[in-house]
Amino acid sequence: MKYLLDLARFVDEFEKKSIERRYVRDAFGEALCELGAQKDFVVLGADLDKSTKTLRFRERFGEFGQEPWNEKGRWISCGVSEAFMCAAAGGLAARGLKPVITTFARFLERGYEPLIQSLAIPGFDAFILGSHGGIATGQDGSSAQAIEDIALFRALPNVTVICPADFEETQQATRAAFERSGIVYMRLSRNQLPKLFDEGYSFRIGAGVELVCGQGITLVSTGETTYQALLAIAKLKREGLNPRLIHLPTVHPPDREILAEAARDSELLVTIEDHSPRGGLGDAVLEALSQAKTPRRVVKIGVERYAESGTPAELYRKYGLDAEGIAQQVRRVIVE
Amino acid sequence: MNIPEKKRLANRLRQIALHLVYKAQSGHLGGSLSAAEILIELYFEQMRYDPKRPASFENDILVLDKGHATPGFYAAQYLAGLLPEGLLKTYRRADLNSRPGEMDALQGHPKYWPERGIWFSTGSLGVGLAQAVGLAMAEKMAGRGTRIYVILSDGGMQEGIMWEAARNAVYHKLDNLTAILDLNWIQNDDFVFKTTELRPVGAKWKSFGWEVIGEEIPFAERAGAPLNGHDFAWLSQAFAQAKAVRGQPALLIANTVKGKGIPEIENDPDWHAKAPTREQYERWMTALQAEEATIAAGEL
Repeated sequence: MKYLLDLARFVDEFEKKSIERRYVRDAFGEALCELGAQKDFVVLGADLDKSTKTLRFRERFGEFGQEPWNEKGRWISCGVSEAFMCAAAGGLAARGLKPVITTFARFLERGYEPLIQSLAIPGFDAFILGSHGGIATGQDGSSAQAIEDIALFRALPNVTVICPADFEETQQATRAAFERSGIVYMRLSRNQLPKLFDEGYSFRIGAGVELVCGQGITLVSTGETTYQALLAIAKLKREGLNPRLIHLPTVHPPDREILAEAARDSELLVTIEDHSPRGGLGDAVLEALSQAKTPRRVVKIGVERYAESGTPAELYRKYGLDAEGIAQQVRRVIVE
Repeated sequence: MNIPEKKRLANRLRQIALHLVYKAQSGHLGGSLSAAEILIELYFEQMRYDPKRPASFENDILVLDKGHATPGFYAAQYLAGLLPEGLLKTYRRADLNSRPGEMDALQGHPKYWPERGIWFSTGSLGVGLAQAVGLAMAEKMAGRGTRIYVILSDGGMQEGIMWEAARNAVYHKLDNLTAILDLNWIQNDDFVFKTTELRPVGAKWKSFGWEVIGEEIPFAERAGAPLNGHDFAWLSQAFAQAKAVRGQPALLIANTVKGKGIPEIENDPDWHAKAPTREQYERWMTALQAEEATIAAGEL
């Protein structure tokens, strides 16, 4: 779908710091509370609930097994035990209670195999939040910066992988995820992200969004890298290039149509993700285009090495994911 | 049910388990035979269920954390009327009549199949206890009086997730959860004590806050000692004790013999996962059938 942004205005507001910035995890926490009143599900946490913003859900719907809610509580404290959390979710799902698993993307990786055994193989519906994805997690350093999680989840059969880019999109995606069967993995950034979408936007699972029109080159981004790609495109347009930007909030299944359409008039596609370039967005795009009639060059920008502590801005600069880093890599590819 | 009848059923379970492993030429006999009395006690004395409605939410649930012990588990389910005989023939065989991802067959390790009374997916040790904790929480939330039973192994107890689950079961006060440790002291490669240090077992669980019923007998001290895991009188009173516990989960420590009932493979680490030859199968089956006749005649 098209949702064309006013690029000049976005850049202007971004540079003047007047743009609205909000935590996407707050969007998740709010949507979860709202959905909790309508739907029967349970939320599991592993001692990162302040960060994943599920404490509001606990306040409203109670903690299982503890006074005063006792057995009526729908929020379950697992302690620092991600493997347990992922397997116990299978027991709850078996009895018809949809589990919502919440922790950092990195620590979900510890629960990956129990999750396969307990949720994926039986074929249960589950919502899984991996917050603090990518090197944008920042100062906690490489131990907390998952750059493999999308690849892991994308490999599961019957899975949906979503990486929203701002507050509004996160809220809508959370609601949409509850209508989806199978496993839905939502990867969120730790950070406050600039507003891209207003209420007029309509998120659809599997639909890519053309944010900037262009020709010859198409950039494809997801999650936090989408606004960096916007800033990069503003630079490149000033240099006489005319790249298009496609935001893929659903990494899996990717929007084959929008990608095939872009490939028709683009010699080059560049994918940008805060994740390993192997197994994530870049490979999702390559796989989608491998079925298109016109072969196109695809260059994948991602995080090739385990990073370090630093502010998100510092790390995006050093690891080439900020606007200048993206623009430079695009220029280099064009020269080649 | 009286003890001779349970003994006869345990013998029948052993015959079926031997048959399943022989026919599939693969599977885990040793750990199935060690759990025979536990399984029979559960299905024929302790658990409440309607065999005509295996998927009923009113049925008590057994989770097999030691998911490799399917020859014993499926045999018990068959004897209990939860699995049709025809399905036993599918054990460890691909169902070539259905689409990929679908199957009407019994896998080597149990997969979630509520229509057959299987509410869990195990085979990766330790996830079964965690799933059982999830099931027990769900039952509490729904206000159903169902009980969750879970059979653990000494090998599975070496997984970290088991201890995460043990701690969570206590925090969430799951007194509808009873675990049974099938303590035969042998794991895949060798004896437990030649693989790692697991002792003390009971003290660990007690310190986690579980009600522990029964005491472990170290392997070296077991010669000639009566083993409670094969003793129906002990099992019955231990389960009764577990049911009476309030506010915490309970663990039964059942001392058992791996391969119990087939003397040639008893306590032999080679028989964790091995299929018998035709000659062995026929000889062992004849012996088990002779034993069944003796039980029926009231001599055992």
